[in-house]
Amino acid sequence: MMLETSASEQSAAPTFRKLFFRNKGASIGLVIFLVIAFLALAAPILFPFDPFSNVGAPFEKPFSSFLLGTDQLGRDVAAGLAHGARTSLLLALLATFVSLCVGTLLGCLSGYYGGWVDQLLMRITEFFQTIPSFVFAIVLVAIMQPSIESIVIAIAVVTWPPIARLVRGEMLTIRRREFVEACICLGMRDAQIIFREILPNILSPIIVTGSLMVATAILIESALAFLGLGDPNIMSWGFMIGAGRSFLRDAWWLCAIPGLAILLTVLSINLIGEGLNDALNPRLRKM
Amino acid sequence: MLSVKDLSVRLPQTGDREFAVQGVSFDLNKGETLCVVGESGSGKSVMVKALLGLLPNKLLVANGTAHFEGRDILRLPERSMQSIRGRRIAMIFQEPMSALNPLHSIGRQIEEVLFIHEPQWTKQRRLSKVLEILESVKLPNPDLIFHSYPHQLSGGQRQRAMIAMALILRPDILIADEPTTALDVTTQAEILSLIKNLQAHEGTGVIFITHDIGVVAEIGETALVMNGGSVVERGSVEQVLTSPQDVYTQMLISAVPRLSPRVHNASLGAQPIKVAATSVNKTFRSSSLFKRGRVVKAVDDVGFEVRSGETLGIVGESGSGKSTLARCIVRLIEVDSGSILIDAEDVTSSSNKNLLPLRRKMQMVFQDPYGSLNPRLTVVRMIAQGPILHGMSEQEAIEKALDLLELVGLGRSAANRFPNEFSGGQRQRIGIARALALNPSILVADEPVSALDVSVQSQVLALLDDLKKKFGLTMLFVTHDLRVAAQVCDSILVMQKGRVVEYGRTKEVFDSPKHPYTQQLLNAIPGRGFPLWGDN
Repeated sequence: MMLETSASEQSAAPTFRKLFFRNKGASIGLVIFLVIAFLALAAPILFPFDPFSNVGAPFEKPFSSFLLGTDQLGRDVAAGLAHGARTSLLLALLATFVSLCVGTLLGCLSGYYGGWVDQLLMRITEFFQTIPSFVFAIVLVAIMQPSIESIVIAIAVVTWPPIARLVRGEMLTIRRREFVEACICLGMRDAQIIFREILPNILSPIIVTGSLMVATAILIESALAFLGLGDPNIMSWGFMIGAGRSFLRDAWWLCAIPGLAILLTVLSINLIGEGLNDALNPRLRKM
Repeated sequence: MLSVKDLSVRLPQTGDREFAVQGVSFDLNKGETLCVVGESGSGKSVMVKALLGLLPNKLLVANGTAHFEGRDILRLPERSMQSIRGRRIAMIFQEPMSALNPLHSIGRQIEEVLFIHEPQWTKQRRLSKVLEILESVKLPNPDLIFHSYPHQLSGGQRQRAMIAMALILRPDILIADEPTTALDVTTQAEILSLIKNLQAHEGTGVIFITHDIGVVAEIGETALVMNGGSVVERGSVEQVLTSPQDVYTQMLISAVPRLSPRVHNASLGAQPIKVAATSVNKTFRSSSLFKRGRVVKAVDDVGFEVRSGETLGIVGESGSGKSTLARCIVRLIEVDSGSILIDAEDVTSSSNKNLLPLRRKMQMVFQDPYGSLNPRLTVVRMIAQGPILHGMSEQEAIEKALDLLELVGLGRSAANRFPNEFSGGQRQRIGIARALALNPSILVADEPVSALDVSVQSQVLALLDDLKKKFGLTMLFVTHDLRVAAQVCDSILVMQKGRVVEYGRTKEVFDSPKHPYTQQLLNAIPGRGFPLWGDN
């Protein structure tokens, strides 16, 4: 029997790793992020004391007796930075995870079933989207008392709607493909079709958006801490900026150093997100 | 009038061959219709795009000349080309919806052509000319059409409007790139006769690109057969279609399904009834809170019986409800009323628990070779999925999947590859293997070959026929192509706007159609009555 020749593109297609690192910004972002992640993980070893403890004279300049100086109460800024990185990354990752789970689940249900399920879930989503997200987060944390859990919940609550909308949209297009009908014909259950068949096909945009959401979560967390709505027992970058802002003219490093840390972290995550987008979303890939 | 010599277009280095078009030469005379025939990837579209200077940036004309009125149009500066395009050489496309601007009225878009090429004309003159041309392409009520927007017209009307736009400046040459491929068969027949008449009237030279041998027989005078970028055969249509010299042309023509309807197998009458549908109804309502919903009766009081081992063809044009009916049978769509019995068990009302064993009995083969396979699964997993769901052990299911791959002609080596590594025809084979993995007794095929080239189409049809005999399958075959229906079906159900207008044995339906719509459909088959090579 005569067969047409197959178009074997698979072997010629560049690998994920190649595509990711072809984006120079993404490589730089990854390096910065790894440094920050290392700092966060190694904080208890590098600075094996409570970052709230007074270890020296107040307002010591950076590169004197302490690497990054001390604050108004003589606390080590470098220790605060490292322990703050722990807080920021931990909270941001947790919040993003919760938000992704909620958003993906609701988006899947909404896009797959359509009809009244979709109507209902989308109205709920819109309800959340109409409230200014940061104000909403402040209110939630204020009501629940500042703690790690309440901050994670608040961030997740204000960030899931865009995920739900994204997943719903992707679901709608894949849902119409004939392979979904084929699965129904084979007798697959809805949950199997949604999570085992369709979800892998829409994972790429979810990962990309999720990575960018980590950056948003860090910003929200810092802003909450800046306003004094952080967990009072945990050192965080936002708290450091908030505490140092009254001394901006005399001790600029108290705000500048954690500020720079936030900037670098958010920047690196955005760069990584862009690299992931290049590598995972072939439709948008530059040819 | 147009003389093309040794035209070659180079592909970028990553392409699967060096030249998209290689060494193509032909002459087009005044009033002649030249059909360029070829399958997908033969370079036929690239060839005409090169002539009009419309090639994408990555493709370059490597060689050759194209003389039109003493000038080589391949080497004219863009400025001079602009005065030739549209005015002297016009083009119509496959999909008029995407070729027309959805935001402008039809009249305005046609008028724009005059505005560009005849700037000295008065508005009055332009308007009367547009109305005149709308009239001549036989659009009903030109005044109304003038103010209509593309989405308000039917596919056929849009194509007429495109033709009006192309012909308004009386071009010397009209290039038509698959202008009827997206249209229903009856509309196609109308458009073909329109082009033919206008051409006879105006003496326009037409280059007609098509993959459909029937259309060639219908409209062409000379034919140019292309394969892999080169011309493999050229001659009068009659000569090429009745006594082709080239091996590829012979293969292409013998792959066209013949219109000799299948004779009803008398032994079928003794077989038990496998599928019985009675007064099936399905209505779609698009409702919204603030608008009045649109109601479409997709399936309207349809009934039929299929005996074990029989193939029933469900035939109709787009919007006839044939795909909806097929999906009702395998219960992808819930019916509003009526019953569909499979081995005397009702599919429409069975509970989810009882449905699972029923689903084993009936499997579906889909139209779209790209959308019907999950791109994230390997071929073997995809095929083994069904049996695993129905309780087979993973080991056994994989073994079965490998056997099936061999059965559909792909071989075991295909097992661990992903769908994107296969061509359209091979993907259809994978889809068929997936459907067969559950050992169904009924196969519902929804346009399984309409997205395929004619040579691949005949291979897939042959495979389906083999499998049908081997497993004694009962088949429901949905198609818009009456040639295919004549070849595969024992009996035929003709649908129009959700209703069955004719139902009978294939030979009877083809030889003595009773309903006027069936007659119309049969008469519209392109190339009907034209003897092809290898007939008789």
